[in-house]
Amino acid sequence: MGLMDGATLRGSGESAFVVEFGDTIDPEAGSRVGRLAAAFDALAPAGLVEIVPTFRSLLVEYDPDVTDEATLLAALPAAEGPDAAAAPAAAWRVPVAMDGALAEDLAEAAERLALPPERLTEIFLAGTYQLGMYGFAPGFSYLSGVDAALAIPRRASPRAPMAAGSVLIAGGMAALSPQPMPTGWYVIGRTPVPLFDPDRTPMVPFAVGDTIRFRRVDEAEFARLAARADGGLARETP
Amino acid sequence: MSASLVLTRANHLVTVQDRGRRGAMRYGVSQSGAMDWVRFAQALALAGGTPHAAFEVGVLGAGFRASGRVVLAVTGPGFAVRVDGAEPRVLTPPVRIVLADGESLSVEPGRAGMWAYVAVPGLDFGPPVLGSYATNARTGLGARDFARPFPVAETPPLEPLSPEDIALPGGPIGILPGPQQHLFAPAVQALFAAEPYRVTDQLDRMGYRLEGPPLEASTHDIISDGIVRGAVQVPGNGQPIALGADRAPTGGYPKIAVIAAADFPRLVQSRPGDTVRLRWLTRPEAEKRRRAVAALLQKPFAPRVRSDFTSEFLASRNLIGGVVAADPDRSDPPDP
Repeated sequence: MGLMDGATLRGSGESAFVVEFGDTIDPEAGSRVGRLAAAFDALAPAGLVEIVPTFRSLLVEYDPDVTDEATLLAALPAAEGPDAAAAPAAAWRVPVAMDGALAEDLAEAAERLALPPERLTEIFLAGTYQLGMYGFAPGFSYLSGVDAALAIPRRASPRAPMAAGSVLIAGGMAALSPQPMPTGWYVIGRTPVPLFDPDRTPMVPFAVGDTIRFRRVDEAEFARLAARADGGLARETP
Repeated sequence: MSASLVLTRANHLVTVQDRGRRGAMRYGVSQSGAMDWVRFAQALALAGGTPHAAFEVGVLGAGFRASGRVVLAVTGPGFAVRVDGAEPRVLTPPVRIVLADGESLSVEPGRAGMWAYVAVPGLDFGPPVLGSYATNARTGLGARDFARPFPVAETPPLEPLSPEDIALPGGPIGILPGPQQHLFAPAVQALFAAEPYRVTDQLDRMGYRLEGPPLEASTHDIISDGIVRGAVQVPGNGQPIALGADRAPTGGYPKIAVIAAADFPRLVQSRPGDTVRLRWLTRPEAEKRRRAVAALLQKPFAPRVRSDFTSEFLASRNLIGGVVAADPDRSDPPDP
C-alpha cells in the first residue's frame, strides 16, 4: 500500500499541509499516520521544519524558501517498505496507583459512570491503550483504547490543577499529564513515570503508536518507584 | 570593562523570543517565538545581525539600564524610546541606540502597536532550551531571571541609526485555507472575507479573539490536529480566534483559515477595538507577499527621511487599557 493511499490533503497556510487519514479516532488511521511520520523522519527531506502526528492526521510544516508540498510528497517512497507494517511499536507496562489521594476523582468518575469504583479500576487496568498523540502541553499524552464503559464526558468547567503524573479519563480517551494544570478530565490514578524531560533524548518515554498497559501499584510502591529515574517503566516482554 | 544590561522595569509581557522552538510540537511543546516576525528580524539586523534572540516588549513597556557601553536596536510600530542620561532624548523605532555607562532606556507604548523588540549585540541570554531562547508564557519553558543582569560581550562598533520602518503590504489581511475549511459552507467562507471583524481585548501571545458575524461549521468539535501560527480556529460560538506564537501545538476546534505570513504582523500589532478585514489568497499570492517583505528585510538600512508624523499616529484611536485588563490565563480554551 502506498503511504498516501486514500489520504486527503488539506491546506494549512502557505508553508504547511495536513495529510488526513480520517476524521475519527481509529487505530488503522493512527497506524498510517505513524508510518507516514516514520517515512518523513527517515527521509529528513531538505526544508522540512517539523511534523505533528495525531490520532488521524499528520501536519507537515516546511520552509517555503527551500521546498514545497509537491516536492515533499514526491520524495516519499512509492510504497510502504516491506518491513513498515511489521515494524513493531514498543509495548510498555506503566505503573499506576489508583488509591486514595492519588486517585482523587475516582469515586466521582465511578458515580458518573454508575459503576462501583473497583469495577472502574478493573475495566481500566484490563485495557490495552495506544499513544495517539502528544498535544496541549509538553508531554501531555493522549491514549485511545478506552473501554466504552468508561466513556465519560468532560466536566462542564475545569477542576483545580491535578498533580504531575495524573492518569486521566474523559471524552472516550485517557491521558497522562506530565505537569499540574487545571483539567476538565477525571483523575483516576497517578503514575510515577516521568513523562517529560527537555534534557532527555527523546524528551518523552513513548512514541506515537506505542501501546501501553497499566500495572496497579499501592501507595508504598508508588513512593518507591517515584524515587527511580525511570519511575518503574518497563517494556513488555515480546 | 565588561558591559551588562539590566531590566529595570519588567512585567509579564516582557519575554525573550527568537524564531521559535522547532521540532518538538510533536511532543506537545509550543513553537513560541516572536509574535511579529518582521519587526523581530528587523531588530536583529539593526543590531548587526549577530544576535539570535531579542527581548519582546508588550504594551506595558519595559525599562533597561546599561553598565558599560551597550548597543540596542529597538523596533515596534507606534512605540517610543526614551533615553535618560547625559543626553536625554526621545526616539521613534526602528532605531539603533548606543547607551553609555549608567544610561537607561525605556520602551513606551504609543497609541498603536502591541509588540516591540529590543536586540542587543553580544548579549548573553544563557543556554537555549530545546534549541531555542524563546519563552513560553504558559509553560514557563525558556523563562529567564530578569532580576539578574545580562552580560554583554564586546560589541561591534555600531553607530546610532534611525532607518525607515518596513513597509508591510496594505489592504485586507490575507488568509489561506485552513485544514478544516471544508467544514464551513462556501457562503460562510465568503462571509469571513466580506465582513469586518473587531479585535477584542481577549488577546495574548496564544491567540487573538475576533468578534464579528458568527462563522458556523458543520461541527465545531473535531479530533485534534496540528496548528500552525496564524491558524484561525472557530469554537462553537462562531467567533474566530487567530492563534499566535504560544498556541498549543494541537487543538480540537475547526480551523477555517491561516493568516498569510506577510500579513500576520499587522494582525498581531492591532489593538483591541481595531477592525480588520480579511481576504482569501492563493498560495502563490501569499508567497509573493511574503517574499516582498523578506526582500525588504534584506535591503541595507537607509536613514529615515522624517516628513511628518507617521500614519500610525493618525490612524490610532485606541488606548491600551483593554489589553492590560486581559486575563493572561484566559487564552485558548483548553483541550483537556
